[in-house]
Amino acid sequence: MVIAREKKILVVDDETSILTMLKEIFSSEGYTVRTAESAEEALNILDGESIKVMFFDLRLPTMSGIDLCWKIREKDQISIIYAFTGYSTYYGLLECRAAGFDDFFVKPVETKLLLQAAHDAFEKLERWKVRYYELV
Amino acid sequence: MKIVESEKSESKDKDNQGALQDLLFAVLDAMPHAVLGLKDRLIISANHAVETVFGWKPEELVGQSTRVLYRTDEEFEEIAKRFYPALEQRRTFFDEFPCRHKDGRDIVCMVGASRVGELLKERMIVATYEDITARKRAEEELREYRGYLEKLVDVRTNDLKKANELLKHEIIEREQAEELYKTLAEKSITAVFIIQDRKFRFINTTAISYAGYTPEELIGKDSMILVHPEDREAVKKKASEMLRGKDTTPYEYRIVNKQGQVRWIMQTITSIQYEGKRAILGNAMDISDRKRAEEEQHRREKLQSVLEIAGTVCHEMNQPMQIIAGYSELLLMKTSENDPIYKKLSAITEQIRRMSTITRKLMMIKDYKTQDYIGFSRIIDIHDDSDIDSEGSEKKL
Repeated sequence: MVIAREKKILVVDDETSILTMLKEIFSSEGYTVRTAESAEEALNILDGESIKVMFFDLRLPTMSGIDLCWKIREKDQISIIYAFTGYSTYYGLLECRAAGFDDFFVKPVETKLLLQAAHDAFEKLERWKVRYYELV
Repeated sequence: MKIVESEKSESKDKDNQGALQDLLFAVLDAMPHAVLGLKDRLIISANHAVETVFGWKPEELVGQSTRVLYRTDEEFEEIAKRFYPALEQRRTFFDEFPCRHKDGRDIVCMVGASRVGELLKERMIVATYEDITARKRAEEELREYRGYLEKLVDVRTNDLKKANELLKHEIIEREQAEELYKTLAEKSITAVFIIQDRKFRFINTTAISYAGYTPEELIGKDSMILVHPEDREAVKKKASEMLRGKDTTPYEYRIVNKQGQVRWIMQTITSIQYEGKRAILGNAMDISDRKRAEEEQHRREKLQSVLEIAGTVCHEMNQPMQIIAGYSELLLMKTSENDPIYKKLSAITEQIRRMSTITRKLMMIKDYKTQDYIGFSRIIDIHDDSDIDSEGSEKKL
């Protein structure tokens, strides 16, 4: 029996219209989308459920996307985490890599690229057979 | 000639003797000096000249002691002490001696004495008195004058020596000052030059190094040839103000050297006398490095503010662009290519992409073009300054 596994994505951005738009895009491809407007809200969601693919805006109120990534990486080295930001430079890229982001996108990101990134992430997780080791 | 007449004789021999005596008397009377016959200091004969020398008539003197001819008793004794012992030894003796004229005047005489006979019996002598007062005075005056002259010569010689030493000292000082000046001017790390009649008259090594010309190429040339054409009027104005003492702050301007390089110079000038004519002494420093540093600082500050604006623009613009891009691309994916709306959606998507290219270039701004560092205002060339390939048609922001 083949059970279609739920592919969950967590999107964090302080701007609700961005969240709405991204949710619509990912949902259109069959992904389950969780949204959070702050790092704290994101951590709460992650406490309650296992999500292995994430997109964070870097500029968030109180805790930044960078710090959120550091925090998650303390316990979770497997999840695929993407940064996307309104403005960044080479040094921003370095900081993102150091914090543990897998990739880095500068807004506006093409929808195709976002979907490709999500697709690649789940393909990787599948290849790594992550679900055999932990509950996905 | 007067003589004591107590021993006159009548004999023929005595006549002959008398003729001889007359002759002797005539000779004695013809003499300009006083001639006295003395016997134990008593005057026994005197010629006419005694009157000329002493003021006494011969007849007044004959029979008197020679004491009347001297000034004091002491001197009367003194001359006896000098003469008589000498005359015992030899026939004649001469000496100068002070005497007294009848009118009380002091006179100086050259006194000569010769003893009568082989031995000095009864102190019999013939004494001659020559008045040498005038000669003595002349001699004295001459001596004094010589002394005065010698002193004068000494003083003059001294003055001359001093003047000479002063001159030598001045020459040395002057030479040292000239040497110092030369060294200062030549070895100064600042440019030093002299302009006269608007032409270079002197230019030191440092100035030469700024200008890039040889001294021969500059001496005698118009002093403005080095000044950047755009700065000439300003330099003339500043120089004139500084020479009139209106402005003492150094002024800055550009020169163009032989190699065509522009260098910034900071300068002060002052009015001097050079070889007897009014001239301008200039002191200048190459401040190109400082200017460059200032420009660099200015450029950095500008870049910083540009980066800040770029950051804000990118952030603020990219958020709404993301939403438009997201939705238009989502719609495009769900629309058939045959649908009339498809082309319009494509256009929206394309324009968003163009806009995103621009914001990406803004993010990549790193620097200004270095050749723009002095004095020109320009817009930022984001296509040259950033690494993103141009997709749009706009070249400048």
